Amino acid sequence: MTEKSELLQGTLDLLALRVLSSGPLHGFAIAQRIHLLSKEALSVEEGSLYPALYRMERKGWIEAEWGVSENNRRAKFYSLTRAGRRQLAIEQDSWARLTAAIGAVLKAD
Amino acid sequence: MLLVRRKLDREMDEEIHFHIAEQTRRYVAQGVSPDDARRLAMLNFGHRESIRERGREARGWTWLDNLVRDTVFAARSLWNARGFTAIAVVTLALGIGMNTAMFSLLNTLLLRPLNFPEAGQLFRVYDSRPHQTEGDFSMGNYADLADACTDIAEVASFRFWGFTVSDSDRPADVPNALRVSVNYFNVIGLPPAMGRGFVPEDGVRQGVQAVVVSHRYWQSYFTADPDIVGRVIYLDGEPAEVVGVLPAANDIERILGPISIFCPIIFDATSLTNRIDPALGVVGRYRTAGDSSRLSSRLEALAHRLSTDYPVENSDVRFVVASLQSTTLRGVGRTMTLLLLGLSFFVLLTACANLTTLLVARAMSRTAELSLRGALGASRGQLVRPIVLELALLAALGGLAATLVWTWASDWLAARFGGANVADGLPIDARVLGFSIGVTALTAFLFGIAPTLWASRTDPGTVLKGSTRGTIGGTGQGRLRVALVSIQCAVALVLLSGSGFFIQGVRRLLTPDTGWQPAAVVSGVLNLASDRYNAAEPIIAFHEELTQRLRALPGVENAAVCFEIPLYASPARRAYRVEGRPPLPPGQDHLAYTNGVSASYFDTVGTRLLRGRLIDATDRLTSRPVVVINESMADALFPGSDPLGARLGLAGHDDPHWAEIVGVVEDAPPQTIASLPTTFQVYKPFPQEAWQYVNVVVRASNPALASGLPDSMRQVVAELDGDQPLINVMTAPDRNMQRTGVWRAINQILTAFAGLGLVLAVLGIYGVITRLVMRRIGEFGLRIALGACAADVSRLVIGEGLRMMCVGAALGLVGAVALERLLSSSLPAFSDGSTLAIGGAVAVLGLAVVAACWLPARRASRINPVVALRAE
Repeated sequence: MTEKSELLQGTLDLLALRVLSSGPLHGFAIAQRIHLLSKEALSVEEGSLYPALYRMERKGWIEAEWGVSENNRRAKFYSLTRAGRRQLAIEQDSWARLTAAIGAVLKAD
Repeated sequence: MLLVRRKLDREMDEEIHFHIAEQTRRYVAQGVSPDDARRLAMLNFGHRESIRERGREARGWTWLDNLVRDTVFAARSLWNARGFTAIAVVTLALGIGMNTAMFSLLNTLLLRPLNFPEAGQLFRVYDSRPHQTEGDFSMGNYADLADACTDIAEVASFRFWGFTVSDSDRPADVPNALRVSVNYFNVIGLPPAMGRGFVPEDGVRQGVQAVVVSHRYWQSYFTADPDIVGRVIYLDGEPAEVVGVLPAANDIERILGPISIFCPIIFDATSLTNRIDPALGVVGRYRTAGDSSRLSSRLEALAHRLSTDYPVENSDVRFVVASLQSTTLRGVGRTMTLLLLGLSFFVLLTACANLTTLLVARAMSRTAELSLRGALGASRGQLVRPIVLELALLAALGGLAATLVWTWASDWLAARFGGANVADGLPIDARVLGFSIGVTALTAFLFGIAPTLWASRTDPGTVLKGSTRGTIGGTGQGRLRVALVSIQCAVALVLLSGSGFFIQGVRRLLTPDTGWQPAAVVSGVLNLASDRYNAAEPIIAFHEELTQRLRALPGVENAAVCFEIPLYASPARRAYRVEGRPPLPPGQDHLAYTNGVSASYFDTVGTRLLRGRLIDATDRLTSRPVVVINESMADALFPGSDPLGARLGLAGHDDPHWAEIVGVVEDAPPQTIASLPTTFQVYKPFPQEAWQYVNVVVRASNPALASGLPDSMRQVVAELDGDQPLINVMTAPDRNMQRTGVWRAINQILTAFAGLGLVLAVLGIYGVITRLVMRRIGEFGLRIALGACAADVSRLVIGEGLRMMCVGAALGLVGAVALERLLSSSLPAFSDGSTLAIGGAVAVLGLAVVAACWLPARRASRINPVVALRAE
């Protein structure tokens, strides 16, 4: 098992939104996709994932719908709303600025 | 909402379940055994319950969850303490409900602004003399007043009257009537609902009089006849046309009483010269706002002019202006208002006091529970929140019960006290409701939460050690409890005393056997219509025939006619002077109730002769004028000498009509609860001043027969003259019952509250003493082991109870005496026998306390010393 790195608070939202931007997924798939896309560097703690999803749903960034999974089981699929796409853009932007700032500090003599 | 939440919970569970299943399948695909895979997956997922919690939190439903859970908890704890809940709810209901109902009644009847347009502009003017500060105007004075103020205000006048109303197909009736100046309805601002009011032509004497009827009279006597306007009826035998009907809800009743029929006053030249007889009440409306000072100075000038122009009749005249609104509270009305206000305030106070004791007792009993929860980590807020919810629930229940109480109470009060205006039930006064609720809520929360917080401060260690000899109800709390019980005793004592005063006072009202014998007396009212009886001779002849025929009835011992029977509903008061004595300064004339009586009156009514002779058959219209006076008047005016032979005359008149005093009878004063302006009574022979409007009195030979007489009396009158009905016939005891109905009702309410206060005090004492006994089980056991007998222990316990009561009683005595002072200053009827009432109250309270202590005392005396000493 790869180590679980600590995720900065709020980045889980960003990652989930990003993952969902390519299409609706259920909760398990979101965790898997993050894990895969990060080349297995990141493992989402399930305990945080679902509360985060519910929170984002309440804020209106994602919406949920019951559907059928690949192996014919009932699962809840989440998808981005328009507000969610806007939020994704905002968060990506602030993430970029944050990393640039941190990078500048680290590179300085 | 709960259903939605459950659905969301289920969905969340399903999601979690799905997630774990997927993870399991991945592991299985990687080659792990199914069981291991599942275990691993679940481990990986994390603690499901806390995730569920966090999930719920993220949903934002937590506050609701907590609220629901706490409310259910509160409800359950209230249900577990059913006794407490029941008493608390009843207290709240009665306190808020009765208070609101009573105040709403007061407001509707007395305090509410009059509903005439711009009622603030209306005023009354009184002709004020030293012996009669709120008197009526003579016609001449009124005419001058109207002229003098015409630019500042428009005035109108009114005069109570009595007519016999007859209609072709209805029995004759003698309703309450009012003669008014033709501009009366314009001045007060009450246009009739049907037809028209009066116009100036109506005020001139001509053929057919115009008449306006009240809405209620139209509905009752005229059975809501749709053709009422224009209908011709007969007033005292003369034709009159109904020209209008007043609207249903108007406030005339509040200022003048229930009036059924209105006719115009005829002002003619002769009547305008009369400056002696007070006849007219005067009401006016300012033409522009805020002119009262102008009016006052104008009236002062007028009074000065009149006293110089007419020194005999108007020598000491003053004019007093009062706003019409303030007149609704005059006289007995004001006393009763204050009394009822005080009563409702007291009710509220009692309710709050009782509520306080209940809540504090309950808080104390939960000390252990609260300490435990505090020790387990509950914060102050978490401890207090269920209490707050409990109180809120209690308040809600109480409020609901209060709604029931006040609905019932206002119906009952309206039926008893209200007049036409409240026939359809009382409107609830939102202010009073708010006030009552506010006060009780404040009390509840203050005394529910404060003791809780304080109790929760107790060191959990000592409490949890659980020893009954420990600090449960420790000194601080114990003293508080004792203090509260004392307060309850004090309040109960005051209520009991007040009740005692009332019972005494009202009892005297109900049995007015001072000066006459009412038990077998039956009386009725007769008004001889003017056309056939417009001179003394026909009236006298009619009544002679009438009394003769009445005496001939079986079961009748005697009969007479008079102005008033000794219950004196509306007594005529006149000022007298004694011949041969210098005239007294103005205002010092001897006021006396004056009654014109036929021969045999005194025997019929049962008033004893003390000296000289009674009015008898020798006193006729043309014989020597004589009077009979009562004992108080004789003693006051002729101290030490014989009044017989002296002559009395009317003060303030050119011709005093001197009359010789021929007899002295015992006092038969009017039975009222208010203070009397005079205790003097003068009786003159009816033939010498024959009124058309009389009381017909009959004495039955046996009180048991009295109730059967009204019908035969009515028949006798009808045989004599079919157009003259005898109305309002009832036995004197019944009449007195009717008059005092209001006071008896107040009495009942007060007694009920005294009872309630007493019950609560008893319960409070019972609770405290029981805990006391429990606390001292060890001590009692020791005493018994050392040889004390049951009686000794009982005495000890009861002694404790009585000691607690003493403090409360001392406080209560102060309150009771203060109450007595207050009552007797406004209602002297209550002052006698007050010591008896207070003594009785103390005795009742003492008995109640003993009763409350009896059970715990018995239990204490039955303690098995071995068990008690061992149970440490």
